[in-house]
Amino acid sequence: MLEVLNVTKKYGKVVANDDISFSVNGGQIAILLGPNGAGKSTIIKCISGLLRFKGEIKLDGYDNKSIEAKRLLGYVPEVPAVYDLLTVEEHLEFIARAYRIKDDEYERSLLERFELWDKKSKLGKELSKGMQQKLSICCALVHKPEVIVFDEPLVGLDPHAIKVIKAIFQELKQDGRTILISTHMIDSVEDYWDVAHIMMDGKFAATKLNESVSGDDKESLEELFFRITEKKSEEA
Amino acid sequence: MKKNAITYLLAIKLKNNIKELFKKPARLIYAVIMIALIVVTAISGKKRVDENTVFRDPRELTAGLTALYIIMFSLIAYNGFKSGATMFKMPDVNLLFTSPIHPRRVLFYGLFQQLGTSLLLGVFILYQYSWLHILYGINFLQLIIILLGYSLSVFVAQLTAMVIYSFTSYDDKKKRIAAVIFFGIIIAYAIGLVIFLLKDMDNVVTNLVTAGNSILLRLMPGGGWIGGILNGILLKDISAILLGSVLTVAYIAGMTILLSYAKQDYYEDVLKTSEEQFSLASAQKEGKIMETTGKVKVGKTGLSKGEGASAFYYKHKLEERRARRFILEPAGIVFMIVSIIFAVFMREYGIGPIFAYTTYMQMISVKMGRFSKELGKPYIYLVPETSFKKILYNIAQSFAGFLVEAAILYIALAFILKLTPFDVVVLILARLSFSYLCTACNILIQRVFGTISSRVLIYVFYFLSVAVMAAPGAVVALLIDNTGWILLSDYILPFLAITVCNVLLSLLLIYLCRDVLKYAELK
Repeated sequence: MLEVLNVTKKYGKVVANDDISFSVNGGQIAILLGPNGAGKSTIIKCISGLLRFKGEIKLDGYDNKSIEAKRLLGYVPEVPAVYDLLTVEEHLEFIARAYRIKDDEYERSLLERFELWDKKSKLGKELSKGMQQKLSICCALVHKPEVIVFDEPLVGLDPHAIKVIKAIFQELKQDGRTILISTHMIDSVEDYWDVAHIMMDGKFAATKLNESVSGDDKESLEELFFRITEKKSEEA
Repeated sequence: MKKNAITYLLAIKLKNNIKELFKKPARLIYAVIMIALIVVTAISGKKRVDENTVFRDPRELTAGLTALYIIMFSLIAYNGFKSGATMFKMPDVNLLFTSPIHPRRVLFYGLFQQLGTSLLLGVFILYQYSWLHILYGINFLQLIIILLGYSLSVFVAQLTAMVIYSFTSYDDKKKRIAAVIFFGIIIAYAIGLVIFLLKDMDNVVTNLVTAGNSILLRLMPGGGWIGGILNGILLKDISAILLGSVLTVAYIAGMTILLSYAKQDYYEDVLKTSEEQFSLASAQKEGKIMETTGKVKVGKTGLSKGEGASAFYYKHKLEERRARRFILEPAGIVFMIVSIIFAVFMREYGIGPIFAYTTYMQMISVKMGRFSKELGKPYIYLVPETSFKKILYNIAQSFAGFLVEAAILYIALAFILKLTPFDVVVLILARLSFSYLCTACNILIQRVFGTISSRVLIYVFYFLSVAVMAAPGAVVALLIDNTGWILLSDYILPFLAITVCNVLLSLLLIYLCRDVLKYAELK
């Protein structure tokens, strides 16, 4: 389970996240929606322990910067985190060694699902942007984390990979994992989220539960998103 | 009247660069500090010279500088066999290459732009004024000429690289022929020099000076010709100036004609290199460090060892094996050559000033290796191990590079300074300890300025912290030296003291900054 309590992140005088609080339970998929610069990536990076912040973030009760919390976390960055001089297979070997785990079968199945197995001997720098993104996702999943945060995971992926990652979201959810996804592609997330937070100017402008859970079908997520974001930009 | 597009572009870029200087105070402060340092160096050097000062033989200097020009020329021109060189930025490629401007005019725009960049590359020469003035009576005008010579060597080398790439990149046979000519000239000169030096091993330095000023070396393409011009100016030899100038001008003209007339469609050749340079520059802006290697030989795959934090160490070993072309990086080689040249000139003053100078060079050249690269990727922060362990395993891999660099430098200096094997070992250890002291100070900067991107502030703090951290070792060494205690030679005890102090302080500093990864921010 992921808990974010009163998190504020400033870059100099710019407030990127302003006193944000929310939680995501095991078996739940939460999404962060918002226009560019709303603060989605910042909160994802704070959760992943990559940024300093004010407030508290806990993973299964552990402080997010503790070793116990790191063991539970998987992070898919917005820009693929790939080493130029390691082969595809070596990336997974490195992560497995660093996290002290060994499951060759699982490594292979991940690569096969993302159509990377036949490219296992290619260097990171030889991969296209889309393939690097797929490898980055594999690296985040290979140690079987309990909490997985995805920062714009669908950007640059081909239709097959999008289908695979959507299936993986469902599998992880059924497996009881905690999933947080940041995205600005509303149409690509319509069918699998449980709770959506719409971000504007570093804050949550609205939170919506999926209609199948709440029975609320008055306004679609897309309508709500545009009502909030367009109203804000008109006011500005 | 409207200016033409190229003139407008050059003028507006210059104007905006100057405006930018005033918009960003940090840049202005940096520029002021850099200029102030040059002035301070100039003034401090002036004070120590009067009418009674006896200067050293200027032929030593011209020989050393010619060697430096030749090495720079060869290293940069060699790029032509790999990825070529580019004088263009991505906006040039996207806007100028597609515009109805004649490719020849675009090429001249590139050449003009490159001249400015080459000049900036040689600024470090201005900081050498003090010792050049004290030892050789070099005045500021002569120093500017030395700088211009350096910049011209870099420029001619880049032009050569571009021609080599344009004419050979698409044809392996042509590439082999060009490589045979290129390396043939270098090897022929190297063999000639070794044979000449072997004739009289008792006077290696004197013979090096003679060789450096010989007409044969002044006829070596690129660096040799420009070294000849400098030789002529400093030694007042008109024939040398004329010969070097004619050859250089003819060469630049010939290379430009080759590029602009023989092959009008050079756009494709520079496109890939420009794109690579753009990616590198973008990555640098974001604080990331990219691999710049061209073709990589994958070789044996797999990390084979490592668990937890040590997986980083074995990963770095694997990456280094694939990245490495030379044992040392070109910048490291240049700093080493400058240090050796300095040692040749200062050998009568003993190891003290030479060690201090090589350490100063080391402060500029020490890189954190793969640790810096790791800081730009999320894994070093995500892996569930203690921060201290991760730091230690991430800096461990640099050891081999530090050791090789120290060994080459001090074995070379052993011949010049007639050092004993014990001296060499202790000097290598002392230099290694400084490598880690600089690394520890870099970690301290990450700890203190993790989120700040002002390079000026970071550089100033880095130099100050190294100075403070090095002080205890220097003081202890001086105290030991004054006691008169000697072990095997005069140098052993003081340099051993420096090593011990540096190692202890480095370890202490790294330990105190052990939580750096908790507080650092992914850039």
